[in-house]
Amino acid sequence: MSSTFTETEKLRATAGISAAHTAAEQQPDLYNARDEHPFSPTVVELGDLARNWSLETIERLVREDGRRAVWGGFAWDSPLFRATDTIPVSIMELWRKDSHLAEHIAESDYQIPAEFCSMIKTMAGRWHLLKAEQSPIKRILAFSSGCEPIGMVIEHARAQGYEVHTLEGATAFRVGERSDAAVKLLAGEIAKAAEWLQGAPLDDDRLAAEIHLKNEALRKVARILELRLKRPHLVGSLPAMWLLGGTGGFFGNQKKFFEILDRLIAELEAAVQVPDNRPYLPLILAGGPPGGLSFFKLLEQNNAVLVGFVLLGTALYREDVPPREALAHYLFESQLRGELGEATGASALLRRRGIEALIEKTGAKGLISSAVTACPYASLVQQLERNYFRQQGVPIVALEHTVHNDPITEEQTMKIKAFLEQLTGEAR
Amino acid sequence: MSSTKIHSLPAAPALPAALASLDALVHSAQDALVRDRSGARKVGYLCNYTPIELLDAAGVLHARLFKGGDTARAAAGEFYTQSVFCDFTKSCIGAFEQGDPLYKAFDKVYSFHTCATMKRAAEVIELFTPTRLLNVPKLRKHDDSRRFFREEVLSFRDDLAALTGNAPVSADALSAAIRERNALRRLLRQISELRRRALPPLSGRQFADIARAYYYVPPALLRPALEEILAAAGATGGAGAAAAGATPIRLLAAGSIIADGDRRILEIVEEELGARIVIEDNCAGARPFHSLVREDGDPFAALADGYLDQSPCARQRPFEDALEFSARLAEQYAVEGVLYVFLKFCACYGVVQKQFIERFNAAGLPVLALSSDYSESDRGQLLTRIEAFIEVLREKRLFAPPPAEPETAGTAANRI
Repeated sequence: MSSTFTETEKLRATAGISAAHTAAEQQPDLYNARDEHPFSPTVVELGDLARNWSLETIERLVREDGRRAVWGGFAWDSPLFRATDTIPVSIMELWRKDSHLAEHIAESDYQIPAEFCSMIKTMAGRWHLLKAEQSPIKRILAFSSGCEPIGMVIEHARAQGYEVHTLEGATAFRVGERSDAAVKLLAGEIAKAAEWLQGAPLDDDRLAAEIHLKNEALRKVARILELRLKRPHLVGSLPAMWLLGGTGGFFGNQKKFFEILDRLIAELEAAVQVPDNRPYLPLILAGGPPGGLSFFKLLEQNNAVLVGFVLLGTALYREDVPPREALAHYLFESQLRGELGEATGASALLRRRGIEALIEKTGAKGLISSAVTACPYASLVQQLERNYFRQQGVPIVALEHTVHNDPITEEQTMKIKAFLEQLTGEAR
Repeated sequence: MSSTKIHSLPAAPALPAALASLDALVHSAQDALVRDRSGARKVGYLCNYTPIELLDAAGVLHARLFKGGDTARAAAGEFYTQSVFCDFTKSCIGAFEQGDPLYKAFDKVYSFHTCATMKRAAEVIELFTPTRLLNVPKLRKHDDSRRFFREEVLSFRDDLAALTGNAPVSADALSAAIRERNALRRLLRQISELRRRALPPLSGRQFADIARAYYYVPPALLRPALEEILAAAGATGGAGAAAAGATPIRLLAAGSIIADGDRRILEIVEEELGARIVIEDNCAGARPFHSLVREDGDPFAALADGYLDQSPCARQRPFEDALEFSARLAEQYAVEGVLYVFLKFCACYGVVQKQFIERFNAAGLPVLALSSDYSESDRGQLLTRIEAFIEVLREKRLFAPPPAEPETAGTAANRI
């Protein structure tokens, strides 16, 4: 038997964190979770597609097939990555594994004070681990409009030897403010980023085609979410999140992802012919899911269904403007809707407008506002929304969570249950 | 513990009077802004990336929102932010929540977006006072970023015109304002450079109080006051005075903002322990006065370039510029140690403290990192840690060869 240990195993031993212990205590991450009551084999296929698209898969594609992969590019900029034949690696991959060890490394090796959020500490530590493990993904595309903690953690990665390209940032702060200069700036930054990604100028036609393709995916997902409102128990809240997450990079298999979307639409269109009168609680989730898989189970046990999501939306890119500008417009409009989170500089004050629109569209009865613990920005959004929606008479519960795949805490469970019971009582 | 008196430098009689006059000017400028009924518009701003030359030229009364150091005010901000914002940001919001007369007086607040926390603060301030956010590019050396910032500067100009009802600020008026502010920067830098002397004529606290005037007092009133201080401080001590007695331990204070009113660490270091902050690398100290705005060509481009070229906040890129600037300051002011002071939850300086510390250590400088807030509860702990640090520096000095006399003011005026 080989006695060699990986760098991560050695660091884990030094930190006193046992892999087995950690794994036993943790639950599967969102993409490794399984929908326990899939309404059709198509949902199972969607889950398999999501599960198999992981950092390890991408690393293998880089090593064995010579593919190019870069950290970033999973949200507004995903068409740029596809247009440059670059695989986007979502920063969420940084806390799918070894997140506790990564956080420990951030605090001990990088002296990141404990008061900062688990997300940025995990990013710093996991990039450190991946470097030690000689991961072939060594480049990071950074975006200046993101929050400073992320920006500063990227500087740690740069100091570790990662190659970083930074897009100059711009933020849309107010609806209706002129944005010509910002659009022009970002369009230029996109062209520079393309050169950095692929070592060649951007092919605008290719980018336009990728934008068109993503719009198609977004339309299909929007259609599924719309049909879900009529048969809410069929496609669960967890698969709905997979669908939204899949629009970022199609889980590495555009053809398969689109096939699944088409089949789901067909299945749901047939299913909605039969009305479903079972009672349920339609809810909006603003932010990431607090408590991961156990959160979804709790919702299911209480007949609650997430019908609206604020982090990733289904808004379309403009196709009536040059493609680089279309990306810029999409980003600025997302910021003004409060979508895409702190990584892209979303507005705190304006997110409620998007929530109100979703409530109107979906008939949601309550709002779960979720934030990563110690994230100043998300905590402020929560506070503003709590004040605002209480005044509006919209039931809201504010929850905090870490990025670790730990099961939902007893306190959170009680809080969610109490909220759902309150809503159920009101519904009666 | 060593007595403070060992290191006290007898001040020339004119200096305390000049400092007292400046303090009175600051208070009267704040009072004038609150009480003014002339119809002039009143503007507050949040960060020193705000090109205040435009505010001067637009004829508005203005002040920087950077009061801090008050626990109750920070707590008032928590009504909106919860506890995970830095105390400075919470104080900015808290001042509005508490109805501080100065903050209540503003017709509009401008926030040039530097850190995300301040951006969020601006979003909350919008609930109290009309607020406008503008972009500050991060990539300070890129031409496209500079062009974009010029556009933001123009947008700021237009917004001020809409606010005042006057014509947009002309190029000539802006050029005059640039010259006026540059004169103030030169004076402040000259005053700061007096601290290069082995026996600095000014304490760090005194310099902090001088620097704050830049953000409250109109240039025409501030200039003679600074000239008076420069003359008075320049006449105090001098290079030869060092021989007369022991010289204080010389420290650089680097890191997050040390706000107007946040004097806790300065008091401990200087008044209780007798060391000296001879230079600061933070946005409320000497840092903003190290570079000038170009006085020729298109003044709007000059303003954009000048603010991006200023000694950088750590959020700017390349990040190495901030590290190098800090290290050069330490060298030029011949410091013996560094107090790296960052506010709890300050991402710009808290997350990367390791890189700053390593850079200082590479220059042979010991560093004490202090995570700070506006509470008084940890004062004893801070005192103990700083005292131990200063003792280490004193020990180190005992066994070190005598240091060369630091460069006197003006000899390396344009090196940073």
